[in-house]
Amino acid sequence: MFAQVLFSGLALGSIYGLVALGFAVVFKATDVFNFAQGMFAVCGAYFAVTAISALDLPFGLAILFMIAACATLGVLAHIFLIQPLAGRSMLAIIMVTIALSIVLRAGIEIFYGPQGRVLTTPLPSGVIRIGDLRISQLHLIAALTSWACMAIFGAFFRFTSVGLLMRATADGHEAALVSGVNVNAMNRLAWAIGAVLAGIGGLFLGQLQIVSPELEAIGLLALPAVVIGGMQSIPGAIIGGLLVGLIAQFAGSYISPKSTDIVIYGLLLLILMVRPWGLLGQRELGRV
Amino acid sequence: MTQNSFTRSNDRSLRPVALSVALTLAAGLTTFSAHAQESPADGVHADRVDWGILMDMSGPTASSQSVWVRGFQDYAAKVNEDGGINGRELNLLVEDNRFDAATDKIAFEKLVGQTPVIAISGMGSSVSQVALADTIKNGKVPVIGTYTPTKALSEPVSPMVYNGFCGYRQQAEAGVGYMVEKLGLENPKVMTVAIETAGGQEYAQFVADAVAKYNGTASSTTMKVTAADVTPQVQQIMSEEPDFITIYGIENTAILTMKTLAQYGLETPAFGITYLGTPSVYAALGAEAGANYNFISCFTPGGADDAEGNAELVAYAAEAGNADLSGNINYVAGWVAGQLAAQALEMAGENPTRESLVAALEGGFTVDSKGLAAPIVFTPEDHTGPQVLKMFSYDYDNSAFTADGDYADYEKYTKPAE
Amino acid sequence: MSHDTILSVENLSVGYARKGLALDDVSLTVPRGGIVALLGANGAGKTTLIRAISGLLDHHHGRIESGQVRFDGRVVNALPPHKRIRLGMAQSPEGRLIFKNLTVEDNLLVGAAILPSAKRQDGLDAVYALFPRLKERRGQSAGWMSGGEQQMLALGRALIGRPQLLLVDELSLGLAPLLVRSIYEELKKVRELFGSSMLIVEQNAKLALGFAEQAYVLDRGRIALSGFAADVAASTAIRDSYLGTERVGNEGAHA
Repeated sequence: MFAQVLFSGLALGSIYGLVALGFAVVFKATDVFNFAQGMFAVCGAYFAVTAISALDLPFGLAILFMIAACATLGVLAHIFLIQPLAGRSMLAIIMVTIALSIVLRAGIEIFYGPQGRVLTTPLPSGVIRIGDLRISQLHLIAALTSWACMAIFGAFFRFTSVGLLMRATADGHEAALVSGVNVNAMNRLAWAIGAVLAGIGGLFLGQLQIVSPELEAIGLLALPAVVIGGMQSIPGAIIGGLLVGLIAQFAGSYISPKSTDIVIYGLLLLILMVRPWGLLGQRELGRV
Repeated sequence: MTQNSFTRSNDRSLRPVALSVALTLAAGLTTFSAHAQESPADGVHADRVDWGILMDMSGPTASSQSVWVRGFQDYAAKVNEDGGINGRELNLLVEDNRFDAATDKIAFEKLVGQTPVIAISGMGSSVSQVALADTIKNGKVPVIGTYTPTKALSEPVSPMVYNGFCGYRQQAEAGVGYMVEKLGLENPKVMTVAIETAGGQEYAQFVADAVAKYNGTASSTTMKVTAADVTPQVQQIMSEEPDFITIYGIENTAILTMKTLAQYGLETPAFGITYLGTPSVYAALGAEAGANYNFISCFTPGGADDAEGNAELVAYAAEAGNADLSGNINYVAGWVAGQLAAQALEMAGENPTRESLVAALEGGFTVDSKGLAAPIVFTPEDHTGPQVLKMFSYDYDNSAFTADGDYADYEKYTKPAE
Repeated sequence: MSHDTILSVENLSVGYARKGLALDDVSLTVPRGGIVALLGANGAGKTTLIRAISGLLDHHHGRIESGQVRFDGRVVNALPPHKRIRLGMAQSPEGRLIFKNLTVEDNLLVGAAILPSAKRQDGLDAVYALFPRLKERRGQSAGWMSGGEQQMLALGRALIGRPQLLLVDELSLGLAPLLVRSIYEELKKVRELFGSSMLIVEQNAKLALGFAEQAYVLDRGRIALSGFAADVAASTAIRDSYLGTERVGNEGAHA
C-alpha cells in the first residue's frame, strides 16, 4: 500500500507542481497572486474537450489548439485586467483575479452546461503491474509530461535570451525598463506561460478524472504548493506541488479521505507561521 | 364625544356595506358556478393550477436534477395539450435552489406565500430536505413527488409528504440482494462510495443493514460532491478488496470512481443508485469500465422495453425535441413525478385546494405509470411510493439499456421480513 | 533644430497624478557629442526630467502636460522606454537599479539584448575592457557586489549597446570620492571610444561642472540658470540658490 500511495502521490503531485510552476512564473514576473490559476487549468481541459470533441482535431493539433487558447487567455487577462491596474494595491488585483475565476466558471457553465465532459485521448490507459504495485499508465504519462514541461521551461528561462529578459523583468520592473526590456511584453508572456502550464495540468486532470468546473479545486492546490515551496522560488513551486500531492494521497489513504484538506492547509498555516518565505524561498522577498 | 359620534356613524354605515358584500358574493357565486372556483392563495386560478418545483437548476447536482425537471415539464405539457386537468392547465413554477439549503428555504417560502402553489415537487437536495422537514410537515403545502427520499422527510409518515423516487432502503436492499445472488457470495464484503450528504449517510446505513442480512461486512468511504480526485478512495477499495461496491452521489461520483478503478486495473463490480444510471455516465465510462457498472432503478429508461408508458414517453420526448433525454433515468423519473402530480390533482376534485388535495391523498392511492415504472403505491401507513426495483446495465453494442429480469423478480429483496 | 543636437527638450511641463507640476516649461539641449550637466537641489525636478526623456514617467504615474522631447530629430513623447533605447538612448539610473539576482554577465546581456545576437559578444568584450572588475566578477550575483562595482555594472549595461546618448543619473550617490573620480575618468574614455553624448545628473556640482561643457540648473521645476559650465560655476546666483557657498570648492563634502 505504501508504494502504491507513494506512486499516486508523486504522479498527482507532478501535475500540481506543473500548475504551481505556472502560478509562480506569473507571481514572480508580475507580483500578482493569481486566484484564477485553478480556473485556467479548468479552461485548458475544456479547450481540449472543444478541440477533440467539437472540432474533431487530431490529438496533436488539439494539444496545440489548447496551448494557443490558454496562451491567448493568459495574455488577454493581462492586457485587460492586470495591466490597467498596474500600481494598484495587491488587494485590488487579487479581487480582480477572483472575479476572473468566477466569470470563467460561469462562462463555462453557460457554454458547456453543468454536466461534466469526458476527454477522450489516444493516451494509453492501461496498468503496469509490478508485484502488488499497480502503476496507471495515464498517471505515469502525466507525471513524465509534467517533468518534461518543467525541464523545457527551466531550460527556456536559463538558456534563452527571452528567458533571460523574463528573469530580468521578474528581478525588477524599473530596472528592466531602463535596460530596454519591453516589460509589458515580458509580463504578457509570463501570463501566457502561466496559463499554458495550468492548461496542460488541467488537460491531465481532466483526462484522469472528468472535465468539470470542479477541477478548479484541484488546480487551486497550486496555492498551498507555492506557499509551502516558497513564493519566489521556481524549484520551490515544483517541490511544493509534489509535497501537496504526496500529503494529499498519504493523508487520504492512511487517515481519511476527508482529512486531506485539513492536513494540506494545516501545513500551509504552519509554514506561514515558522517559515513564511517557504521551504525554498529566500528570506528577504525581492523588491519592495 | 368623538368616540360617540364615531360609533354612531359606524353603526349606520355598516348595514349598506354588509348588503353590498352579500350582493357581491351572490353575484360572484353566480359567475363562478359557470366557471371554476378560484383559490388564488392556493395557486388555483380559473384557467390554471400553479404547481411548484424546487430543484437544483444550477450547481453540482444540476446535471441530473435539471433533466428531471425537463421530464416533469414535458409530461405537464402533454397533459395541457390533452386539455389540462378539469379544464385547468398544469402550470409549473420552477425555483432553482442552487444546491444550497438557505436558498431552498427562501424559495420554499416564496412558493408557500408569494407566488402560491397548490403543491411542491422535487426537493432535490437531501440537505435542504432535512433542514425543511419540520416546516413541510407542519405546513399546509403538500410535497408530492420528491426527488430525494430522505428519512427526515419521509419518516414518520406524514400526510404532507409523498415520495416520487425509488426509496434508498429499497435501492440498497434490492441492489445488495441482487449482487449477492448474482455473484454467488457468502459473507459478502461490500463497500459504499458516497458523497458527503445526509442522504449519503442514510444510504450507507441501509446498505450496511442489507449486507448484515447475508452475514456480510460493509464499510464505506466518502467524497465531496465536488470531488475531482478520488485516488484515496480507490486506494481504500484496493486495500479492502470488497466483493462489490455501491455508489451514491451524482453522475460525476460514479464516473470518477469507475474511471479511477479502471486506471488502476481493478474490475470490482459496482452498482449505482438510480440517479447514476444515465446514458452520459455510460458514455463517459466507455465499454471497458462500463461493463462492471450497473444501476438499480424503479423506473425503466426510455426504450428499454415496450411498455405502453415507455412508448408514450419516447414518442413525446422526440416530439418535444428531447429525444436524447428519453434514455435518461432522471427524465423518466421527472415524467413519472408528473404523472403522480396530474393524478393527485384529478383526485382533489373539480375545485382543488391544498386542503382538498391532502384529504384526497392521505387515504392512499396507486399511480398508473402505464408500465413505465415499478408499481407506485401509497397507503395511509406508507408513502414510499415505488416499492420495487430492478438492475439495469448498458449494452454498448446496441446502445440500449437492458434490465436483468422483471420488477416482480425483485420483490423478494425488498419485502419486509415477516 | 540643428543637426548637431542629439537631444532637445522643448517647453516641457510634467505633472504627477493629483499633484502640481513637477516641471514647468523646461527647455534643454544636448549637442551631439557634448556633455551636459543637470544640477539642482533635491526635489528640483532632475529625476523627473530624466524620466521624461527616457520614457519612465508612465511607470511613476506622471505625464507630459505640454512640450516635447526630441531625440535625434524625432519627437519621442509617446514612445515606450524600450523603443527609445533602441533608437540609441541609454540610461544609468539613479540607485543603479541592477538585477540583483542575476549574474554580472547576465545583467550585461540584458543590456545587450537590443543588439543583433552576433554583436553581443563584442559588446561584452568592450565593456569588460572598460571595466576589468566586471570581467573578474562576471559569474557572481550582482546583488552581492560593492556599491562601486554595481555602479560600474549599471554603466556597463547602459553602454553595451553603444548609445548615442547616455543619461547618467546620480552616479556619485553613496560612493567614495576617489571611486567617483575614477568612474568619471572612464566616462571620458567612453566618449572617446563610442562618441556618446551625455546628460549627467549630479549632486556633486563641482565635479560635474568640471566634467561637463554645458550646464543647466533646475530650481523647483524651472530652469534657473544655464550656459557654459565654467560660467555657471562662476555665477553667484548658483551659489546662493543651490550650491551653497561652503560646498563650492570643497568637492565630496557630502560624501
